[in-house]
Amino acid sequence: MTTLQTSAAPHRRRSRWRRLGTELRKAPVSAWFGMLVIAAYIFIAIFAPWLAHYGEAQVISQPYQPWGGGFPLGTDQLGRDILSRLIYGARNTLGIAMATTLLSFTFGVLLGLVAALNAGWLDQLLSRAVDILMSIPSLIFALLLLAAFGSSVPNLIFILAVLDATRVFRLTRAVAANVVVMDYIEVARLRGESMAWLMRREILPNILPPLIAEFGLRFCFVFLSISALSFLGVGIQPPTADWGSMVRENAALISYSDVTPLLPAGAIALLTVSVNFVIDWFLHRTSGLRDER
Amino acid sequence: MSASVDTTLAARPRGAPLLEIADLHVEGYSEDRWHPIVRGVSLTLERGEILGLIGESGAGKSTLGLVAMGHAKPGCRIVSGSVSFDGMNLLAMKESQLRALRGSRIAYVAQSAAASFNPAHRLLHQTIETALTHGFASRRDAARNALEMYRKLRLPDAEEIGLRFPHQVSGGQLQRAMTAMAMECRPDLIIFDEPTTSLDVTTQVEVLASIRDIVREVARAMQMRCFCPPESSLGRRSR
Repeated sequence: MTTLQTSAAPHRRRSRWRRLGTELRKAPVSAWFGMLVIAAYIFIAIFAPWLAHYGEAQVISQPYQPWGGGFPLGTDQLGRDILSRLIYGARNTLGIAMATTLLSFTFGVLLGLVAALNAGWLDQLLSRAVDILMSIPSLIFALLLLAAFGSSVPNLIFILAVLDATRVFRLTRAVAANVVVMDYIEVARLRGESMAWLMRREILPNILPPLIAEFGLRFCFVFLSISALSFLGVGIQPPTADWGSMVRENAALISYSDVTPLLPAGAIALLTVSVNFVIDWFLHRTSGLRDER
Repeated sequence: MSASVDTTLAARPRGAPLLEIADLHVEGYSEDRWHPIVRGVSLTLERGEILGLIGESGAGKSTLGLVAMGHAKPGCRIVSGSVSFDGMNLLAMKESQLRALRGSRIAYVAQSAAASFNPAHRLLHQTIETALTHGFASRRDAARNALEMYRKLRLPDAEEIGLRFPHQVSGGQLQRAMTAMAMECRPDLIIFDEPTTSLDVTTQVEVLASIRDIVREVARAMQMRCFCPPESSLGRRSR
């Protein structure tokens, strides 16, 4: 896009950055809060080995040490530093959730566009297959598949991605079906454009806002399902640090009025809320929704 | 779909008319049965000719225009007759073969320019899209051609207007940009489907004048042919 040889090209690029700047200045406090929290999580995830004092699986002390001393948040049931595990947990949980969401969007958007463009038997086949997958409760189905194929990280990502792609497929197909009947798609066909070009250039840009909003929400759901599966013991396997399994492993401490097991749960909740703040703001800006005041 | 004219280039007769439609019947589906839309139309169009079609609303002008590209709208079917473009039978061609012709050798200017532009892309990007998908020109050359065409079509601020989105320009300007898009690959045949219906009278005159000028200018140089539903001022049979 930027290679167009026109005199006004540099002007356009500058104005795009400036637009982003004004947009950010006008962003509400909630969106700013969300963006800062997400940025902090990403920072922690990337620099985990430098931020954590101990390794994620390193046993360094007696189990269930209280807060303070060498261990700001105490140690867990095996004597591992809770703070270090929380920091590593950001990396594992976020990375796996991100990979899963990206993969599920790749499947879902691609098949959704194909179905929308090829109304007829292909659309019917894909849609009914998705209906069948969706009719099975996804957490139970994921448990079943993970039990059958073994709970390794690639399996976890793939299974959750396929199950989640059904929702993405439905959304994409529905919003793309609205665009496919537009005059400009027929005109584009009459310009001799191929299906891949139609999908990428003509339809995708017009359905992007709902898809991005959905991406944020799906990320939260995937994130929660991974935590839930880890809590149930079939998700991310020990000794890899993960917030879901950390809650389960230290749950016993709750009985002794120790809030430590709530910390990883709080980390999950904070991220979910922050992502939703940002998505809310984005939806508000792109869909033209305005609060009537 | 009954005709069986040979589609190979080698077998194409010399001096054949550019577009030849013979005894064409098209039907449309509504209320549980097929209604005839086009009944036995035959026409020939030589290179360099401008042909106008006049008819009342619903007479099948647009349908005929689309059939000339080998396309039937959803809900329409071509019952019988033959459509040959430059000696090739369009009705017997595969979708991929038609795709190679569309945009590059047969171009289409739609009825409502406002609905025919993708709202997500800037004008210039859409104008050069055809040239890029058909590998007709490099991005830089295509953009230069487009700017030249904008100037010829008397679009104001040709340099700047291509960077706007479709909703940021007027209907008349969009219609002209659409003409520029159709010209991008220097097609042999351009189908104008009522290019000015959605415009007010003064803009119509302006757009038609600029289309006529460019068709004339490019037609002489490039041997452009034009097949043009109902703009009567453009649509006289002339060489």
